[in-house]
Parts: sequence; structure tokens; C-alpha cells
Amino acid sequence: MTARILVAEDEPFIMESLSFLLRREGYELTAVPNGTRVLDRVQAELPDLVILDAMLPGKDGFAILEDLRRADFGQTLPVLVLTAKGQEADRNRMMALGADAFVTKPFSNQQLLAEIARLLSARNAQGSAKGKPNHGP
Amino acid sequence: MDPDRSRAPFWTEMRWLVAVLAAILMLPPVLPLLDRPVTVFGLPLLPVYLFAVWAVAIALCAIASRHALRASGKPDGPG
Amino acid sequence: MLSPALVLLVGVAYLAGLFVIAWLSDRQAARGGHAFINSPVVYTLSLAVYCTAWTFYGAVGSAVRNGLEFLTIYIGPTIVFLGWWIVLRKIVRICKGQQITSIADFLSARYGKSATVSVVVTLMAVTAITPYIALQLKGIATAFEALVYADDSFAVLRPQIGIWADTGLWVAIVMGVFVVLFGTRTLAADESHPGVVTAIAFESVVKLVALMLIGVFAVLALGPGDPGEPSAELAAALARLTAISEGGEARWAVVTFLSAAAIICLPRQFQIMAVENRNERHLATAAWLFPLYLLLISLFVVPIAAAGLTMLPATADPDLYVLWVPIAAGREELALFAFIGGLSAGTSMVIVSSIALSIMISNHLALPLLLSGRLGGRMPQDLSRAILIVRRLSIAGILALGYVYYRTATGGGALASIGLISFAGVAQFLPALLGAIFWHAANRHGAIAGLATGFVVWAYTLVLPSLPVPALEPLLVDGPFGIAALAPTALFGATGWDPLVHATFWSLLANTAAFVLVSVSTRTNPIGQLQGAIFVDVFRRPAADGEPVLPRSASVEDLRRVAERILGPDRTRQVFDSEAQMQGRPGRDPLPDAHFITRVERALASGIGAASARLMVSRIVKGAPLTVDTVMALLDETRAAIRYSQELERKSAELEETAEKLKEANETLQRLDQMKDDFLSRVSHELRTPMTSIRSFAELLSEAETLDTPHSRRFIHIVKQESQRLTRLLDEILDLSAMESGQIAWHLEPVELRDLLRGSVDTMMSLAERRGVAVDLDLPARAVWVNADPDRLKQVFLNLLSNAIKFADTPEPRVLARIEKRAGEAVVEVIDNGPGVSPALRDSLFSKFGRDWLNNAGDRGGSGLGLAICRQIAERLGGTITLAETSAAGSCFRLSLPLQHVEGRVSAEQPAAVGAVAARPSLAVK
Repeated sequence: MTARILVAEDEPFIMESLSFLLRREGYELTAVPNGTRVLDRVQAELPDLVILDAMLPGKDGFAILEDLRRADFGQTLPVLVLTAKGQEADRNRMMALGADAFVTKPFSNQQLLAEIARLLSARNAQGSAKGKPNHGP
Repeated sequence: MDPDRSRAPFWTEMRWLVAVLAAILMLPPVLPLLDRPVTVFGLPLLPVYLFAVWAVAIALCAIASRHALRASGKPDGPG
Repeated sequence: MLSPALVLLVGVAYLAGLFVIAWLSDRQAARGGHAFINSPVVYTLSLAVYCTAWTFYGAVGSAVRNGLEFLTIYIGPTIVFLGWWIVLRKIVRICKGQQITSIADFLSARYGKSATVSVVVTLMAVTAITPYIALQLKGIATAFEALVYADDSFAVLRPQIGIWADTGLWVAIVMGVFVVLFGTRTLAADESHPGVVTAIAFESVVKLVALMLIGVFAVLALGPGDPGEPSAELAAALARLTAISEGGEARWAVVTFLSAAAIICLPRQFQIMAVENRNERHLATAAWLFPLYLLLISLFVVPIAAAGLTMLPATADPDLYVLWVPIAAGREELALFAFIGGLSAGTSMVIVSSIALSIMISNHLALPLLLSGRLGGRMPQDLSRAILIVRRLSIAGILALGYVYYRTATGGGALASIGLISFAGVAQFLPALLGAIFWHAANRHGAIAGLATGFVVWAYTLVLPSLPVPALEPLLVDGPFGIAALAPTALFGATGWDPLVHATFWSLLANTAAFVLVSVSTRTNPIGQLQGAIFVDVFRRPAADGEPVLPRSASVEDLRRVAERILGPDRTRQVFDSEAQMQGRPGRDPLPDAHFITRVERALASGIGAASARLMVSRIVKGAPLTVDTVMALLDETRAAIRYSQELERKSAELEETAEKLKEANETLQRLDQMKDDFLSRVSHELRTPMTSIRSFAELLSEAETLDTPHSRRFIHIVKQESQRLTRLLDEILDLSAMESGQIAWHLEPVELRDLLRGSVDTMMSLAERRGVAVDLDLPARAVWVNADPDRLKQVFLNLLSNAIKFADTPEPRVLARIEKRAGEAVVEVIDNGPGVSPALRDSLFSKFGRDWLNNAGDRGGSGLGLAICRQIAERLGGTITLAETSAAGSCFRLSLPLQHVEGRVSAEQPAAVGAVAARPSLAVK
């Protein structure tokens, strides 16, 4: 089964590199460059992971995360925050809001992929522990 | 304009008039002029005149005082 | 007649009732319930203490003897009160401000806090009031005897059993005890006696009601026809009642004048009117209410007199008609009620007078002696106790004196004539009093001269002739040593004058003359001048603390010691604590500056009089040597202080404003601080973003497998581009910083704008073509010169143009660059028909802090600092850059620069239009 990842990122070049990288790893990618669309797309697609930039046009990452965690479809969804705001305060705030991982830009591709893998396997483990079928066509 | 406010300076001037006029009317040389054997309602003129002037002066002074006190924003009267 | 026991019982019961009223009122006042006392009606009724046994009994007697002249006793005060604001209000205001305790205190305080003045006034007052007190004793005693001992012919047969059966004595003793209990229970710091005031007000009601009742009764008794033809004498007597007696015009005027003076100068009137006054506004009510009371109380005098003349034998004492008339009509209970009225009138006078006099005696006679240690050697530690004892002894003494005069001098004299002697005596205070409040130059020497002269002349011309001493006969008739010109009743040949008129005329003439002449020809000492200013200018002074104080210093401990001896420890602590609060030193000792010392002195003065207070304080203070110059300087200071305080008010308003501005500035600073953090965080974000792409793609490229794919070219391109972006960003940040901190070297020179703009457009042409944007120029025919740094200015043009080109997103994007001269300025506008700038971004457009500035800055280059740099440049060149208009139809960025006037410079003027002038895109800005 291929994991589906939703990437919320407005910088086109970064989106391009991410999309190349992730697709090469075999993930399915949904790109959402505008903050206001993120929640709707998550609800529609129900991805396995969300990569979230803190600074997005329309609605910033903090607000999105907050609302996501409040929504029933987003409570257990793994969220990886990818942001140029690398300060301690931002990190703490994101983690407090319920982010599962925090990666600062510029990032190392390897590091990013590792984090993604970790989150996805944890989710799978969770899923199998609850007896969810994870075999798919 | 508040009618009291416009009347107050008038009464301030009036009170001078009341005091001075009362003094003139109740003292010689004006007073003895009214010492005549004339009767008013069966009463002799002089005392009636005196008490009348007196009462009118009191009344005017009372009005002036009311205006003065009202103009300075305080109620007059007992208590 | 009535039984003595009954009359005694009723009388004593009434007095006891009075005492209860006073006691209750004092208690209520002590608990702080001042509402009743503060009523102007109570104040006015207490002023009616003016109507004594003289009014109650003697008015009718005077009517019978002298016709309507008795009214002058009431007309005088009426006129004074109708004109209350002239004299009375000033006196009351001064008394409040200076905490005056009596008329002697008033005059002494005015004339340099002189002890001599206070002594003279006190002695004069005691002398002048003694006959008046005797008059009350006589009135009450006679009334008592009339009720108890009179026979059917209305003659009084007094049992001659010696002095101890003398009604007068017992009256004096009872009244003495009563007054001592009444008025000297405690020593109030401000000499207020709320209990006394209430009781007096009550008594005023009683006597008014009693007299009116008898009056109505008399009218009714007169009413139903006369029993037969009135005799000629009766007719004549009745006619006399309602007329002015012959030659009585002079007396009319004089008595009116004397009563007008008396209503101010009588110690008891001064006490009630000024010292016991709670609120200056009450005067405005008393101005008409008191004359009304006087009118009412005198209204029925003539009917009673007429009834008396009609119903009673000619031998009956007219002074007692008030009692005889009801008795003659068989209504003895009315007569008893009338007696109570008379008792009321008499006791109220005695109470207030003796309290007033005892205050003067204790403060001005006894205390100075005590203080100087001449009485009883040592100075008593608790002065307040000593003062109370002195007051009680004074009251006893005053009543004793009154009794002696009653026994010796009143004889068969009419009550009214005795009273008028007193009136003429206290009238001697009038010149000094009026001078005190209206005349700056009046001084101590003049006052003493006037008072003494007036007193002597009065005593000589009026008192002396009234004493039934046989040895004085020759003196009275022929004058001293046979000098007829100095005969007491005919001074300087003024024979045939009415004695009262004569005495009044000469005494006041001498008094005023001495007062004026001596005041004018002597110098006033500094403190006299100070006090003069305080008194005469009381209405011009804004507040009590605007007044000048003598420069003095003392130790706090000394002040405290002195204060505690007079005021007691509690009140002293109150005063000191409140001063400490005012000085901003709560909980600690106040600083003994000149103001505080004056304040303490004033507090003491309220207890012991200004002169004694000054004496006590003067012992412990060290003062700068006082000269007239010092005082004048002080007075000037006051005027300056008043002006200064107005300045201060203005400044404090300014201060308020400044504080507000400071607050705003602080808030701005905080915002700026916040913005600085925002800037740093924004810069960091802006730098990291291209870095991210670079790194990510670089990493990808470093993997061999990526390198061989068609993506690699693209990735390398992106890396290159983002590196450029990063560099550009760093340049901009550095540029902006350098500009802000003034490190850039600006090379200002005359620049021709059209050329510069044309050049910029040329530079941008390739970008524009690539993006399919049409760029047009609209330049004026004549040259436009400004003073600028050409490189920087070009930077601005390029930035504006590149923004306009990059943001054009319509199918037919157009950009117009134009120059105009407007109002002395060169205006360069770059107009595009792009999407416009959203409202959210407008405020931070030119700021380096705009957080939500461009997103998707990726392929459009620039971090948004470009406009911030443009603003810096524009401002540096003395101009402005703004977003002039923006809407969904496009934006117009406007740069204004001051024109440089070039003399005689022939520029590359090119006629006609330059470049393709295309149709301007219309901007419909909402």
C-alpha cells in the first residue's frame, strides 16, 4: 500500500523538491499551496501524513494544526511541521498543539525521509494494534 | 438660556435697590411725611405704611435670596 | 394672683426643658448629626436672641411712652440684614477663615493681633453689657413679682424682707448656674456650642408665639366695641401710640442707627451671627427671614399697648402690660404663658451674652495673665481645664455685676432706656469694625485711640448721668469744675438735645475722629499690615492657603507641646496628622514650615483667641526679623503666588498632556520592539526559504541517480536561481540596514528624471517582453530636474517597474510610467493593471516588517524589502513614495520629489511627446 502524504507548502521550488523526493520514495503526494484549503483537502483525502508549513498564505500553520486536532478526522493524523521558523518557542508551540514531528528548513533530505518513515510506521503499528487491515490492493 | 441664569444678575442689582430704598423709606426725612392722621381700613396710616414697606422689602429680599442661592446651585430652606 | 410656687415650678420646668434640648442637641452634634444645626432656619431663629426681655416687655412700654419709636429697634437690624452681603458676609467670611472666637478677637486679630486691643474691647464690652444684663434681671424679676405679688390695682407690693428675698438676686443666681451648666461643659476647639444655638432657637419660637398670642388676644379683647366713650387722656394716649413723638425724628434716626450698629457689635449677636455660623449661605436666608421675625414680633405691640391703655389703670407699669392685659381679662394662664415668654427672652440673652463675654474675658484678660505667670505663679499644665474654670468664674462675675447695676441703677427706669445705654456703648465698636474690614490703613493705634475716646465720651455723657448718685448732681448740671461746655448732657453748648442723641453724636464723632486721625498719622507694624490685607481683601483671596504667612520656624516637638496644652492630645494629633498627610509625609511628623506654624497658631486661636495664641507660639518660634519690606515682599509674593498657581494649573494640564504622550510613545516603542523581533524572524524566514530549495536540490543532485535524469538540469537551474535570490535578499537587507543607519554615501547631483526613467524602462524591457507586458512612457515636454543620487533613484524606478511587470496578471497586462510636475514637485507614477494590493497588505507595503507581504515570492524575485528600500531612498531625497491608488483594476505607485530649480540650464529639451504615448489604463478606484 502506498502511503498518501498531503503537503501544505507555498514555496513552489520547495514544493517541487519535496514532490520529487517523496514520489521517488514511493509516496503519493497531494500539494496544497494555500492555507485555507488545507483542512478541506485533508477531510476529503484523509491522507496518512500531513506535512505542514508554519507560514502559509491565507491561514497559518498554527491555526490549521489547532483546527485539525479539533476535527474528528484529524485527531490521530500524524503531522510533520516543516518550517523556516526554527525558534524554540515555535517548536514548543507546535508540539503543544499536537505536532508529531518538527523539521526546520533548510532540511536534510535524509532526515526528512527518516522522520516520515518513522511517523508512518508508528501509525501502521497503531493501526494494526487496533486490528485495522493494512493490506490493500 | 436658563431663565434663572438670566434673571440672577438682575436680582443681584435688585438687592441693592431693596436695601437702599427700605432705608430711605423708613427713616427721616421721608418717614415723618407719612405721620398724618389718615386712616387706612380704620387703621392709622403711619404704622400701616411702615409695616407694608417692611413686608414688601422682606418679600423682595426673599426672592433675591432664592435666586442667589439657586444661581450658586444650592437649595435653600431648612435642612 | 398666681401662687409663687406655681410660677417658680413652671419657670424651673421650662429652664430644665431648655437644658434637655441643649444637651440632646450637643449629643447629636457630637455624633456628627449636624443636619438640624445646619439649617438656615435654626440659624435665623438663634439670631432672634436679639429680642430680649426688652422686646418682650419693654417694647410695649416704649410704645406707650414714645409711640412708634420702638419699631426703630427692629428697623435698624432689618436694613443691615437686607444689605447682608455688604458687611455681614465679609465679617462671617473673615471669622471662618481666621477662626475668630469673639468680637474682641476679631478686632484684636485685625489690628496686628494686638493684646491691647483685645483687652480694651473686652473691658468695654463688659461695661456696656452690664446694664443690658441688669435689664433682663429687672424684666424677669419684675414680671415674677407682677404675677405673684400684684394686687387688683396692678401695683406691685414687694415684701421687704431683705436682699435674700430679692427676686432679682435669685433670678441672677439661677441664671448663673444655668448658664454655667449650659455653656461651659466642654471647651470646643472652634467655640461652637450647638446645644446653646438649638436652645436659643427654641426660645425664639417660644417668645414669638407667646407675644403673638397675647397680641391676638389683645386684638380680640379690643374688638367688640369700646365700653363707652374713651376719655380724652385715653384718646390722646392712643393717638400717641401710632405716631412719632414730637421732636422724635432725631431720635428715630439715632435709635435706628444704634440698633443697626448693635446687631453687629453686640457681643452676643456677633457670637451667634459670625462665630456660631455654620455656613455662609445661611446669611442669604437670614437676610429676609430675620427681618420677618422682627416684623412679626413687633406687629402686635401696638394692639397690646392699646389694650393695656384701655383696660388698665394709668398707674400700671406699661412695661408689664403684656402680663396685665390677660390678667385684666381674667386669663391668668395666658399671663403665665406670657411670663414664660419673657423668661425665655431674658434667659436667652443672658446665656449668650455671658458665654460671649466669658470667652472674651478668659481669652483676652485671664489667659495672657496666666501665660505670663502672673496669676498663681506657675502656669497650669492643663490649660483647657484652667480656661474652663476662668470662664465659669467670669460668668458668675458678669451676673454679679449685672445684679449690682440692677440694684443700684435701674430703679424705676424704663427698660428701653436702659437698653439704649448699652446700644450706645457697643456702637463704639463700629468705627473700628468697619475700618477693620474696609480700610487698609486702619491700624492698631487708631483703633485703640478711637475705642478709648468713644468709650470715655459714652460713659461720660450717658452712663454717668444714669447713675443715681447724688454727689454727681452738680457735675451733671454745671459741668466739671463749673465748665458748662463740658457738662455731660450738654457738651459744647448742645443744650436741649435728647440725651441719647447727644451722647451718640458726641461719642461717635470723637471715636471716629480719633480713629481716622491716629490711623492716618501713625505707621502700621508689619503684622498689622499683614492682617489688614487678610481682612480687607478677604473676598479677593482665592483660598485660605493663598494668604501670606510670616517666615518662621520652630521645632515639631515644641509645637506639639504647645498644642497639646490647649487643644489636648487627641485634637493635636488630628491636626498634626492631617498636616503630615497634606505635606505628603503620612505617618511621620509634619515639617514645621511657616504654613504649619500658622495653622497651629490658628487652631490655638480658636481656643484662646488670636492674641494669646500668637503669644504662645511666639515663644517657641524663631522668625526672620520682620520689616515692612519683608511684609510687602510677602504680600507681593502672595500676588505672585496667585498668578503662579494659575500658571501651575496650566502647567499641570500640560503635564497631563505630556504624560499621555509619553504613554503613547511607550506603546509605540513596545510595538516597534515587537516589530523588530518580527523583522528578524521574517528575515530569517526569508533567508531560509531559498536555502531550503538549494539544499534540498543540491542533496538530490549529489545522488548520482538524480544527476542523470532530465530533472537535473532543472534542479541545477533552480539552485542557481535561488542562490541569486538569496544573494539579492542579503544585498537588500544590507542595503536597507546601511541606509537606515546612514552609512550609505549619497552622491547628490542634478538628475533629469525623464532620462533616468527612460533608461530604467529600457533595462526592464527584456523582462517585460518575456512576460508579455506592454510598458508605456508618458513624459512631459520640458525637462524635469531634481536633486538626487542617480543610482539610488534608478534603483527605485527599477523596483517599481519590476513589481508592476511581475504582478501583472491580466490577459493584457500594461504598465505606464509617467512624470508630471505638480505643485512644485516632480511626480513619477508607475501604473499597472494588475490585481491591486489587498487591504491587508497596504499598511505594511513600504515597511520592512510586513509579515504577510508577498507569498509565492519564489518566481517573482524580491523579498518585499524592495519597497522598504524605495521608501528609504525617497525620504532621503526629500520626497515621498506612496501607493496612490489601488483596486482590482490595478495599482498606481507614486514617487514625489522636490523640483530643483535650475537657472539657465539648457537641458536636452525635446519637443513633442517622448516615446509611445499609449492610452492610459483607466483606474477606477473605489
